[in-house]
Amino acid sequence: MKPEKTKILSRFYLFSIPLLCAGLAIWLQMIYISVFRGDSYRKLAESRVIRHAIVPGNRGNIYTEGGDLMAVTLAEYDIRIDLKAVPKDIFNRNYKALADSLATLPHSQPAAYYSRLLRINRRKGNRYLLLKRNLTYPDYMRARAFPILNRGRFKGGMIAVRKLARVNPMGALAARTIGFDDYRGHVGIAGAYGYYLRGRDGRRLEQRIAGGRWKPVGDADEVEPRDGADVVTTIDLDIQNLAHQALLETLRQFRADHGCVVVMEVKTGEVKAIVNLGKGADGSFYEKRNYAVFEASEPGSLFKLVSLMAALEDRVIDTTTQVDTQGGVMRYYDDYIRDTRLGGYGVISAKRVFEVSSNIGMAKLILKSYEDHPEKFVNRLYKWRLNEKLHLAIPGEGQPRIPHPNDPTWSGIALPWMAYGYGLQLTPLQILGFYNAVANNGEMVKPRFVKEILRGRKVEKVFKPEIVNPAICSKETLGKVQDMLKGVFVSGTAENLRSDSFTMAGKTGTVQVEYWQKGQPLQYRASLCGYFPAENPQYSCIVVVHKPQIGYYGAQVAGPVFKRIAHYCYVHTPKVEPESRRTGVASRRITEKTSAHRELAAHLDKMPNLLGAPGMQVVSQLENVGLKVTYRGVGKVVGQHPKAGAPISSHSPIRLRLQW
Amino acid sequence: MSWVSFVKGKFLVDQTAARNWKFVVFLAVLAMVSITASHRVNRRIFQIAELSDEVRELKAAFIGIRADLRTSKLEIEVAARVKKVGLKPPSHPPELIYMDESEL
Repeated sequence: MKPEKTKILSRFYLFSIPLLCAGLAIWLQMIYISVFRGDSYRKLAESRVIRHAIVPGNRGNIYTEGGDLMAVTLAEYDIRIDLKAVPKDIFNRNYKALADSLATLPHSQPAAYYSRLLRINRRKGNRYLLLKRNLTYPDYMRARAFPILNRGRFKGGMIAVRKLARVNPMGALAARTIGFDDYRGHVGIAGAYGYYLRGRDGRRLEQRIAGGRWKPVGDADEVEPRDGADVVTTIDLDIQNLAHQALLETLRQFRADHGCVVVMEVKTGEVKAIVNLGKGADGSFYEKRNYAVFEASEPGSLFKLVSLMAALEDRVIDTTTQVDTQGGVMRYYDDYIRDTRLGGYGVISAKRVFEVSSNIGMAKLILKSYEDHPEKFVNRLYKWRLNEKLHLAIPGEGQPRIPHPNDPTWSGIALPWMAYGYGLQLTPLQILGFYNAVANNGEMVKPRFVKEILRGRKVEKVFKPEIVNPAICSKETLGKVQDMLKGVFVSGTAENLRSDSFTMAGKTGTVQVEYWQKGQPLQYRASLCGYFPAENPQYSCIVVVHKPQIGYYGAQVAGPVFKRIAHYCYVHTPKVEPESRRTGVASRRITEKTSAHRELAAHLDKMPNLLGAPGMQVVSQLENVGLKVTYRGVGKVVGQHPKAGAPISSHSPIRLRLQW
Repeated sequence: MSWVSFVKGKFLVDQTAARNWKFVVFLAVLAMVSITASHRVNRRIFQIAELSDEVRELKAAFIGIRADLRTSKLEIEVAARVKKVGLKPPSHPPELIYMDESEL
């Protein structure tokens, strides 16, 4: 018996001890995990059900002066398809129709492309085939109704990925100046006012619930999100669009490389329109770079205004000073100065030199006055701060350059060259700023792009006009140059642009560019800078067209754009006619209207005969005397209820039928 | 009451049981209210998610349509459309006429 019991016991131990050891080991491991590594595991477990979510603060919008949206954050959609999810017969029957539909979306490939794409990827079994990127909401809604895709996620394999994108609803209009503020950099107004536009993200604790959604834990957010403020620009959409179309047509017509237009309000420096179009690789024009802001280049004849003003202000010449423009060619040191007209203009006054834009005349006038002390001339320009940036709000402004006689690069021909705008650099906006000061009776204001910052409906900040220089010159000089600028359009280089109904003042420029590169045909930059109307100016404007291939004169290439804008602004500024009462025409019209009005009011008890009367007028007149009118159609009255002569009272309803 | 007697459930059957039962029922109701509320919150969150999707989509649609409207309101567009009817942009500005009230 005894050996038997020992045998059992020993077997028992043989099995139980290893089991006990194993159990103990598991136990020890459990303790080890929960005590020593517990923290990291507990955190991991928590992170699957709890998170610190970012509540995004929305980015602000950019508006035009009139409240039109120029930049906004919107949902955009990428649509993809899981081709394995689509049943075979449905795919085979519909994939061609789907390809046709896809080809109708904006910026699409032809239907054959999509048909091939679908077929090949079906064979490969692609479960995440990209069909279309960055669809707007209306296009996305259309795409959802396309064949196959309309069967939804499980049968049609449709996968839509929503993302937030910055969109310019008005498309190309002022796109470069509106700019962007993202991984590409800080550009334009969006870049400059990012501080206001950016929202501040909030944070809150969230717990996972069914369906992959998250619910907030507790009532209050840990950090409240704050939406960005809206920026209201100074841009006038109608002027912007007109300038855009006008420049685009010109660039195409003259086969130019690029160009820009800026329209500025004289009194305030508000930029009403800024267009920058450059030729893309495919030959079409788009808002490529902000030429108006960055492109510092030789201003050419546009600079003659500055030279002449300096000389007039220093009283070294007068508008009547006579100068011999020789035979159209003048040798100075080793260089030749040429005039446009072969044979020259003979002996003419300084005013005439300006109007016909004689290089020789201008060079001689400046040489005569400043040859012995050119620093006096240059210091005058420095006093006008033409060698300094305007310090515009938007980044990327070009550095102007005006050489000084103390510079090592200064040479004998530097002074006469400067007189007619070569050997120095200014950006279009810097030139416009100076012309604007002349238009603004000597007060120089800084060009501005932004009017105010709005937070919700509250105005957070208003940007006021900034005066750079209250008086750039004497009243006397101002009168003289304003007169000369007018003269350019009366009997000068811009004579062809003259209009009978409105006045303009300004200066044309035809500059040779890249003249230092030998062995290529001469290239030009055509420009026109000025303001309108010539008396009591409202807007100043600069038009620059770079490297036109057909024609090159400022008045011929840039002129028509300038004139179209001037005409638009003329037509859209109501004329206040203090004489209107005496001229009779207008006042008679008004008496007719008012007497008809009175008549109607007097006969309120009977329905008048309105047949044939213009609906627009009748409806407002009836409403003005307190009747309730409903009408159908547009045009003249062809039917009325009640009939003419029927008694009516103030609350009897009147029905009219209108037709052309 | 000892822990053992609590586990045995004596408090549910002894003389004061009726009072305890009331409390138990109260706790049960409370638990149910709490569970219902939590479910309702979840449902509300789904609703919020759906609505905010809808808001985003409507906003996108609104802005698209507004941009289209603004584009067709641009003078150049209007001029192109009314050309058929024989209308064209004015070549002269409108005149503002000031009058005395007595003349009306």
